[in-house]
Amino acid sequence: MSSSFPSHLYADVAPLSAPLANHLYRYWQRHKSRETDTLYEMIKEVREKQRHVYFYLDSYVRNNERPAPRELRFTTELVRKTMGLYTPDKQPIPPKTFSHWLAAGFLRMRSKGYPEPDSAAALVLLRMLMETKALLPESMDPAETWWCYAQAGPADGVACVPLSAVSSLPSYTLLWTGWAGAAWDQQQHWLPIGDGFGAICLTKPKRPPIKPFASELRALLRWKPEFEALYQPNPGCERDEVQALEHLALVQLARSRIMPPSMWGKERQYAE
Amino acid sequence: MQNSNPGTPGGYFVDQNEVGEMTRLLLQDRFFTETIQGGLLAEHPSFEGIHRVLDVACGPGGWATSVAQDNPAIKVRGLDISEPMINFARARAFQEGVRNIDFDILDATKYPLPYPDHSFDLINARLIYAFMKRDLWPKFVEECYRLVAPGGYLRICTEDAHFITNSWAVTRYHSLGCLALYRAGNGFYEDNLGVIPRLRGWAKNAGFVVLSQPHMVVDVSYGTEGHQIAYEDYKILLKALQPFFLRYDVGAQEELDDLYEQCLRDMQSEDFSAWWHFSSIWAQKPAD
Repeated sequence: MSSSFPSHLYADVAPLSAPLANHLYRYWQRHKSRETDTLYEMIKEVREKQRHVYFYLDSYVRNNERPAPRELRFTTELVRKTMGLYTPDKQPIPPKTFSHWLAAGFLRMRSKGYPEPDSAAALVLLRMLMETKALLPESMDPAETWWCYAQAGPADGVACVPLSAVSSLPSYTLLWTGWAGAAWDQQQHWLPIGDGFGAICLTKPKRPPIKPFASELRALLRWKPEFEALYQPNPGCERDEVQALEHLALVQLARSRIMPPSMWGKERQYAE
Repeated sequence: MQNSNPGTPGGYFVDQNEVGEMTRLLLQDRFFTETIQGGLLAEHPSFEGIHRVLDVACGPGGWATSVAQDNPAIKVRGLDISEPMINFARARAFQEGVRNIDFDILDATKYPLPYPDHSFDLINARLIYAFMKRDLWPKFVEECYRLVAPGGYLRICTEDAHFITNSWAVTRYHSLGCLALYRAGNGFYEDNLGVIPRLRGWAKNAGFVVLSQPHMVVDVSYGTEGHQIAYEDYKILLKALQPFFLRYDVGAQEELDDLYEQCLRDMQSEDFSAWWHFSSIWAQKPAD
């Protein structure tokens, strides 16, 4: 049994970064291992809990974009309280511990009192999954991000890439993840799928093309050639039409890539 | 169902502060409203004439928020014993731009509730059997009578843990649930809760006129619309129930673990057939 979490599966455990996925995997092997199914059992558990974390935190994160009262926003207090629910005394995580996590690179902040949601969600997820006092490894490079799946074209293989590498992928690469919180990143235009099942998107060109609708349509038809019959250009509404088709294409492409929970365990086996 | 467990606030049978429980309740709420009850208020033609609504044990606030959202002229209140649950409900309502709603952190089993007489035109209570002790039910309905304005309505929707299925494991889990609830003082029998057949009598004794008591049977067999939600609901609930089962000594951990895994396998089988039975009582306080 390997002590490293397989790198091609990092995307299944987002928003955990690679060091946190490996840390959790070592914990699982020590404390939760049941014969040969350790990897599968861990991924199953992460997928269930990542969805819970998303559901719980989503409104608070989105309220950060509004003039909401502080108690309704995604703050360090909320994260400390939420994580505290999973400790024996049910008390919020002490500010000192929180500061230490920040210094050790496990947390990123957007501004004072407002953590970057993905890095904080990863800590909440880890706290829900680990029943030990020592939650984290010694330190982590703060630039570590979660991973997603990427496919350059329909005939291409699937790669597992860190979010930090997405900007170097070819335009219109399909990205997907079981972490619906991906949609909190408004720059990447992730489309949340189902009831927090995950998110999917196409990478966009770094520079806007001269004829954006034509090039987006061409890229879209590479993924869904049958959509050519659906496209009925109406002068002045090309953008709306291409966007509607892209939305539909992404929902349909998600079908074989992002499974609802009742299908988990049926879609693929995790060989150790 | 929010708020019979000495280890949790208000004696709810699972830890309602768990993030997973909030997810379950949110999904359950939508399933209830859309699939089981066929709308926010299926027993009545509309919310016309209803100006103030109270949702008892509102959990993450799904039903209450939807009512407020669809009816901006109505003032809606939700109450629940769980602080994280209420904070979440507030954040969600705010995010959705719903401003005609308020939430209170309150124990729905401590009377009188801190609202004046005749404060509401409609009181809604869904699946409160999980924390409502058998001797408290009549008192709860009487408290609702005090709080409802003359001409106002009471709606209680519940189940008796009546789940008809071809899965032995799921049937067994239900039996253990009923037994544990009975031992905790919640149900009236060891093998089913026995709440549904008593609702009418409690409502009448309190002074309400019972207008209807519809029964709903929902197919949650594999491949049906309800299966996905039922599977998710059970995946979280059955696991979360285990400490409650152990506390009331209805099974050993190993037995419960095996049974839990078998329940999930059965529910994911294409042969899985199951029907859920619910009932709601729709009652009115006579106008003066």
